[in-house]
Amino acid sequence: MIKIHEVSKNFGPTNVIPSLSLQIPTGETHILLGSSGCGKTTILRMMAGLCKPDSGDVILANQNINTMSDLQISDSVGYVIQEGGLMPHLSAMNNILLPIKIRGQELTQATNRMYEFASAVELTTNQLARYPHELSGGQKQRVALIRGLILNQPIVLLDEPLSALDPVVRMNLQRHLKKLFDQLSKTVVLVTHDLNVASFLGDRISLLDQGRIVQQGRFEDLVNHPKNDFVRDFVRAQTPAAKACS
Amino acid sequence: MINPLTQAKTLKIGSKNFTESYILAEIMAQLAEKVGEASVVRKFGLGGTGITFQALEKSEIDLYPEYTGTISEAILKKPVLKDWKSIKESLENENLQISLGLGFNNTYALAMNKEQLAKLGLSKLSQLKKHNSLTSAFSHEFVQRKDGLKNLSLHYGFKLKNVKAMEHSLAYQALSDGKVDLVEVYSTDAKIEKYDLVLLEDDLNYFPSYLAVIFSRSDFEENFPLTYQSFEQNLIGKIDNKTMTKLNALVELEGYSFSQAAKYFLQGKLVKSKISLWDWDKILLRTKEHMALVFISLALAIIIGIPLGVISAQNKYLGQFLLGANALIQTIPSLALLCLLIPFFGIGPKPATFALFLYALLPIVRGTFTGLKSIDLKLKESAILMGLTRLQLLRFILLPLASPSIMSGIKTSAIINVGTATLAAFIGAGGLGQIIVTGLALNDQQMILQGAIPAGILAVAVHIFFELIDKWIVPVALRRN
Ligand SMILES: Nc1ncnc2c1ncn2[C@@H]1O[C@H](COP(=O)(O)OP(=O)(O)OP(=O)(O)O)[C@@H](O)[C@H]1O
Ligand SMILES: [Mg+2]
Repeated sequence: MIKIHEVSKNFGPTNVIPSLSLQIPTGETHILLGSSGCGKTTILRMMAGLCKPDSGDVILANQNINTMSDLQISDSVGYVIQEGGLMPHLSAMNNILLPIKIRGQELTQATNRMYEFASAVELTTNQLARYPHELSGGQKQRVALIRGLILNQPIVLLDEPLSALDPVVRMNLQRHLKKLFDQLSKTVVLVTHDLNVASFLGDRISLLDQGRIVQQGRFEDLVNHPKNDFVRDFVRAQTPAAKACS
Repeated sequence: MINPLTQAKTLKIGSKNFTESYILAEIMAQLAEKVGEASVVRKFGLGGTGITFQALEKSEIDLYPEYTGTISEAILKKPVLKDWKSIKESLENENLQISLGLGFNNTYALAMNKEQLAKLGLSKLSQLKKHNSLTSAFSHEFVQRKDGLKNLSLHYGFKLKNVKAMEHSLAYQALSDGKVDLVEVYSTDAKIEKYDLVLLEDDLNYFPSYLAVIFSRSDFEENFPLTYQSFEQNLIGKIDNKTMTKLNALVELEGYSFSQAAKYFLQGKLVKSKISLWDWDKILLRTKEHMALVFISLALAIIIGIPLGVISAQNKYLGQFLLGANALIQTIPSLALLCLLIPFFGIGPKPATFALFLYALLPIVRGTFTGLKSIDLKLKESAILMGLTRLQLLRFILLPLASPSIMSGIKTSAIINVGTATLAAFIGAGGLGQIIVTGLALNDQQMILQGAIPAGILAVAVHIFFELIDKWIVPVALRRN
């Protein structure tokens, strides 16, 4: 479970998150929607302890994040950052296995897991041997995704992990992720701009505007019972998805 | 008879880096060897009065040839002391001693080209005040010293407008090329004849006497009584101006070695052994010494410099302090730095290695600092999110990512060190500089090349070596080509 209680965050004079409360029960896949710059990445960073809130608490599995060490956090949270964060000097494979190696964990099991993921996201063994600068944007995203999942932490934070993928690959990947999240009952927070992804993967959605939650609920609720014009406009902007539900 | 017990003693004889000093020191060395009271160690070619005198004070050498004028002015800093006796008395308080004069007075004089002198109708220093526009080239020492150019100008009331400070042997070359009109010379200088120079008469008696003497600590006589006695008998008053000029000319103009000239003086024999133009054994030895200086200092700089760079990147204020301190070291001229280190390390390879180490630090610290600072913060965060400890972060992520920058710092240091290490010769540390310094003292182009060419080749070799190391250290994905 992730619990965010009356969290606020300023960057210099600008108040990016005024006061945010959010509860995500174990096993839920929660989608953060909202226009660019509304604070989605900032919220994920606070959940991963990379960014300290000015006030309020972030609680992961009943433990305040302030009391957790970096290692403890990394043992419970897998975070795939927006830019992927792949190490340029390591091959894709070594990027994926780095968290395993530095923990001194058994490699064969992890390697098998890696190949399973890789075939699910349609990455070849050859591509896994390449360096990040030798991979396409979408390939890099998938490598980063595998790295975020390799340690099998109970909480997974994904910042637009599918944005650079073509529709076919994305569809397959979505299915695979959904199966994985359900099977392992992971608590997932996923940032996306894509309503298709949101409706397919999300149990619940929070639509944000300037650091505030405007509406929270299932995808159908947002489409059929928009709280205000902002929600209506945001949903209508991607008509095909909206139509599919109405 | 050679007593094996006393043979265990060593007599360390020094010289400065000009021909006359080399010859006199070599004469003393050969005499001492003949006496056999102690084994003789030659520490020749030391860089200037400051370094040589410090070496004497710190017992790095036991004696060296010096001039009374230099002692009163540059060492005692009491230019009022003019005569031998008062200088000797003044030295006694410092536990130092000078012998009686060797027999010649090598004072300063100003010299000009014979033809030009005739053209201008000059013959005396007192006439110089009407020719202030003459271009002159003086040694750094002559320009600096109070009893050098400064007081000379006051004494004679001239004010030269175009004064250049340059290495003594280069000044002659410049004069013969017509680039300068006036140089300062020593009155026993072999080149006076070679370049057809005439000395301007010191008609107002400005220049003090520069009697050559043996300069030692007071316990010299006590420790080496037989050698002392032999010097008294064979050197004191035995070398007049003419003899000294002749010995200088043998070496500088006729291509005899210091040792041959010394032998000529002591035994009256002039044997020119076959000296190959390129003395490969010597070059090899000096190259080895040079490489030892470069690589030991570089290794130290790498071991200390990389951690300093890491600290600098992590702590803003300490970082600025460390980088600033390192930059400050770079601004100290190498000879001055070597001189400053003598009280702590003596002379020889130790202070030279330490000085080179100090010079090599900045590029490495800066390379490490810059490399670490330019790493994307996102990558550091990703690493922390994966659970890397600080040490693992440094070892597996930060240092590899910074390695191209660190390596380029190391390469810069290595190349700079190859060049700077030639200066180590000034404090008796050997290396290829030893050949260059001797060549400079003799104005022997061939000999200068014998030191300079291997040094150049070494620089290229070091470059190639580090390009290869690069391939091994820098992760393949980060290489630029
Ligand atoms: N370190 C920072 N310093 C100053 N301002 C910041 C910093 N990080 C984020 N911001 C600002 O905070 C706001 C929210 O940023 P955030 O990255 O959370 O947006 P986002 O919702 O993830 O946007 P996008 O969809 O474009 O990724 C933005 O206006 C951004 O400019
Ligand atoms: Mg973002």
